[in-house]
Amino acid sequence: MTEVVRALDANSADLLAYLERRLGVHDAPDVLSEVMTVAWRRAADLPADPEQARMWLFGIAKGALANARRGEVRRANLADRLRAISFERANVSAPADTGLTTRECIDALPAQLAEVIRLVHWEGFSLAEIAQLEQVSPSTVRSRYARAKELLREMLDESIATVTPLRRAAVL
Amino acid sequence: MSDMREDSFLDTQLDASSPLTSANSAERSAALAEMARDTEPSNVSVLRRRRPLVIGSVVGVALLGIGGAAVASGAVSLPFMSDPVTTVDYTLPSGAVCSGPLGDVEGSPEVAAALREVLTDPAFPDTWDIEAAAAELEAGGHTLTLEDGTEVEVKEGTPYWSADAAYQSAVEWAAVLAVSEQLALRGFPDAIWSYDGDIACPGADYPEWMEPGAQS
Repeated sequence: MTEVVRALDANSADLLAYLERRLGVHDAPDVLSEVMTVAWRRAADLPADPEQARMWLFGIAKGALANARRGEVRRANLADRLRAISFERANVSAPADTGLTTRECIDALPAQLAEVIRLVHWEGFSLAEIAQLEQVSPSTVRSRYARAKELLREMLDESIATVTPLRRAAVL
Repeated sequence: MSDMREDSFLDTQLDASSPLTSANSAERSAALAEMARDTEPSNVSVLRRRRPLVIGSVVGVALLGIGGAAVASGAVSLPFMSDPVTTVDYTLPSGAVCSGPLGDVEGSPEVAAALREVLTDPAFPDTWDIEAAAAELEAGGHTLTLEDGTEVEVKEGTPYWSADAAYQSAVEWAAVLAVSEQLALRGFPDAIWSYDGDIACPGADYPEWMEPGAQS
């Protein structure tokens, strides 16, 4: 069981960030608690290799995320505590940029293309890792990524062209 | 990742678009570490543990609709299970523990194989959203036809309702929805399938009509 603790300790911060970026800082701790519970229950399946263990945990998180989006998640005491810490104003990190326009464009992509972009640019996954997580071939991920960037380029160019001159200067 | 970054301006924009996350701190790290240890099954209390699920009756998306007749979703115990594929257990609000096999899978060969795979996946119970299923059932309504032909509503505050029975129905429905979704993910979105359960819940607080010997 120490292997589970080791894997969770090594990845819980990244898992929390992954969930926060998709569910917000309010709901992410609840789902993280579920991810950990599932990891414990499936401890026999935990890969020995640390990188594979990381991918295994993200695979669980991906499933928990899908479930969380279907219904209300339970509130646990520890999740509440973690949430309270996350919400302390002094402890909340700023988003990487004002980023609204870019995020809106990402959100407007087809779901599979958007997720590849998020996993590469928000979570730092390689295309090979994404292929493993999404259970598709690396060539599929590569084509999705290329297509997503092509669309984003078009959308961002359009958004820059249509904003006011002052906003355009800020975007540029 | 260097082979992917042929557009530095766009890549920079995308890197910078990440939404807000909580900042790392010693306090947060401690809370995460405690959560990692507290979620170990032996440390999780009955109330906090995600309740494993089970089916207490014959169910199938083609046969059981939301708000269907009580006789279709009650805790009917089958006399035997000819082909069990997995065993499940869960705790009712009263504290009574239900347990027993699921099996007797039916469907086309491909669908039946996929259904077996779903039921035996250790992570399957984690896909069940009992709270959402309970809300869905409550919104859909639930009726019972008495022996004299009178149709009555099965809802809280009536002698035909109990928390245990309502929870068990929610578990059943949550499992059906999860199976349906998992089969759709495996390429069988509109398949006809069914499985049975032979679940016993000793000490459960059921309304009189669900007790052994009552109408069913």
